[in-house]
Order: sequence, then C-alpha cells, then structure tokens
Amino acid sequence: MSAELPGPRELLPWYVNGTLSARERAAVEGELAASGIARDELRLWREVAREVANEYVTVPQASDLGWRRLSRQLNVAPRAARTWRIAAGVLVAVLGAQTVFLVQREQAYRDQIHQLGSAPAGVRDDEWRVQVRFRATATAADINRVLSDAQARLVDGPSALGVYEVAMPRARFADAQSAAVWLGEQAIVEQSVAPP
Amino acid sequence: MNDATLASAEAAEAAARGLLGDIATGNQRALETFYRDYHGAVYQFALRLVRNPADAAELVNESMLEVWKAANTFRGGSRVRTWLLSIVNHRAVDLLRRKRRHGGGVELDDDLVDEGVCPMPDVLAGAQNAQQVRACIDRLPERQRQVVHLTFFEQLAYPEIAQVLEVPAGTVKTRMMHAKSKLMHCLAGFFGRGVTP
Repeated sequence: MSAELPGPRELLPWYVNGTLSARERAAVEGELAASGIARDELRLWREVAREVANEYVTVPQASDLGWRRLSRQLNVAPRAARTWRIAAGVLVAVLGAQTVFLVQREQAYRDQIHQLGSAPAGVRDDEWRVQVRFRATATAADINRVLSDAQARLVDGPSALGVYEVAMPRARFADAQSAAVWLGEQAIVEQSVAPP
Repeated sequence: MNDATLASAEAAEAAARGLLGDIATGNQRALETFYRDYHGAVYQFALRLVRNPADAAELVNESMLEVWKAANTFRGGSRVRTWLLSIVNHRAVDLLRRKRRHGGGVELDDDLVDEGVCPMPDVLAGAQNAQQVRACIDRLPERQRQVVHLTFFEQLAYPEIAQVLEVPAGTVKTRMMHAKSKLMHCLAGFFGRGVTP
C-alpha cells in the first residue's frame, strides 16, 4: 500500500459511486484483483448503494406556499458583508414589518387558509386535506405521535403563519370535517380547518 | 461518469453558480429558482439528519434563508451542492443541539464500535434482501448514516463529504468503516447466524 494513499479497501464505497481519482481507482482495482475479502466487500457496498439510491422518500413539492414563507423572511434577513447602516435599515424594516404583521395577523391567516384552499398539494384521492396550526409548545415528537395515531402525514408547510397541510386517510374519517374535528381535539393543536 | 453526464453536471454547476451570483446581488427571482431546483435535495438530506418531516421542512426554510444571507460568501472552492449541504448540516447540528438542551432526546451517536467478526457469506446472503439492507441502514448511528447517504445518494466524493461535515477526510473514511462493520453484523444477524443487532 502506498504511504500516500489510504488502504484501498477503505475507498471501496467511493469506487462504487465513481468519485475516486484515477490513481485511487487503480489502487482499489489492484486490491480487488488480489483479495477475495475486497471483492466480497465490493458486493456488499453495491447492494447498499442500490438500496440507498432507490430509497423512496416522499419529498413535499417545492410549493408556492414554502416559497411564499421564505420570501416573506427575505426582506428582514440581514445579508453578509453589509454595512452597519444597512443593518440599521433592516432593523427599522423588521420593526415596521412586525408592527404590520401584528395588525394584519388574523386577516393574513384567513388569507393563508384561502390560498391553501386553492392550491392542493400532495394529497391523494384516498385522503382528506386538513389545515392545522400546532401550539407553540408542541414538539416534533408530539406532532409525529398525533400524525401516527391518525395514520396521517404532513404534505406541506409550515407557512409563514405556522399553518401545516395534513393528509388524513379517508379510510378512517368519513369526511374532511370529521378529520379536522379529530385533529382539533388533540391537545397540541391550536386550530384545524377543513378547507372547502 | 461518462462525457455526457459530466457535461450535464458541469452545465448544472455553472447554472447554480450563476444563480448564486444573482442571489448575492439581492435578486429574489434567482433565489426562487434556486429554491425550486434544490428543495428536494435539501429536504432529503435534512430528513436523514433530523428524521422527521416537520423538522426537515423547517431546515429547508432555514437553509434557504442562509443561502440568501450568505450567497456573497461563496468563493467557488467547492461545488454549489457541497456548499449548500454544509449549510444544511450546520443548521441540523444547531437544531439537534437545541433539542438536546431542551430534553428532546435527539442525540448524535458516537462512532464507537466493537463488533468483532461475522461470516461474510451470511452478510452477503442478508444483503440480497433489499428490506433488510434498508432496515440495517436505518439502524446506523446518525453520523454513519450521514456518510452513507452523502456517498450513495448524493454521490459525493469523500473530500466533498469532509467539506460538508467539516471533518477531516480520514474521519469520513473511519465513519464509513464503522458503518460497514455495523451493516455486516446487522445483515448477518438478519440471516440468522450472526450477531443480532
């Protein structure tokens, strides 16, 4: 083994993903030619690679809702390497935005519900769509427990106002309203709505 | 990587750098494009770090906000994707620390292993079952699962993973070796004669 190269067997995962340098690749291929253990490990890593690459994870779409939430935060987010004057300006903007936010909070929430109602995302035919706002004290574990109990899943959110969109199974709830009522009865839920 | 794939990757990288340059000038439209292009990758990685959809969605938002704030600090020393995933990793570490501080029970696993040996035929027999492989990957400690994900899902080179995680390249390889040891024992255990994980 070259003193400048790590043990070739250590590099097998990156031999599999094709990111080694030519020199490293040659060292690994030399090891593979000489070692049955290395060949067995290569088979193992190929199985792992196949499984990881094929893993299906439900990724919420990059929805307008997510982008709207982010874009609202941009105007109050300080940028790197700006002067203190700009930072002061941003601070003023933050205070102003917070004032406006407080005044318009409830109206904005109603608007949010309306916008969500017009843009279903990721809810299947066998699910009801419910919008929910969790209490500030709810932890991720609490939320997961409630979702698990209902066999539900998050499909979008949180919005700028903390609204999540939840897909509830039709097999369990007769209609979206009863699904919303069930969610509303959970201690960690502040408000739930079945959009029209 | 063949020539066509390489050319495609280079074009994507050039586009991403162009977007970052525009974001650095305060162009929100560029950030929106960047958000839509990278939302999926960021969510996937975030989900593997924090392991629940709500926190992963929050990390997407926090990471993209960081891109907006820090785009002008990108110096081009790495691929844009590598730089972005390092932001996600930072944010996830912060989140996990906050949860630990507040008793959330989420901990970063250490890399210590003492696995002994297990028969390779059993390991390879276990590896033939995709569900078993998946279950064994899920049982890996957090830091090892990160490295496995970045290697086989993000297809990163080990020096790039070192950049994302801000650890020496040797640490990346050590974590992968420990992951291999755990996977082997887990798969052999599934096959019935090895050490039960």
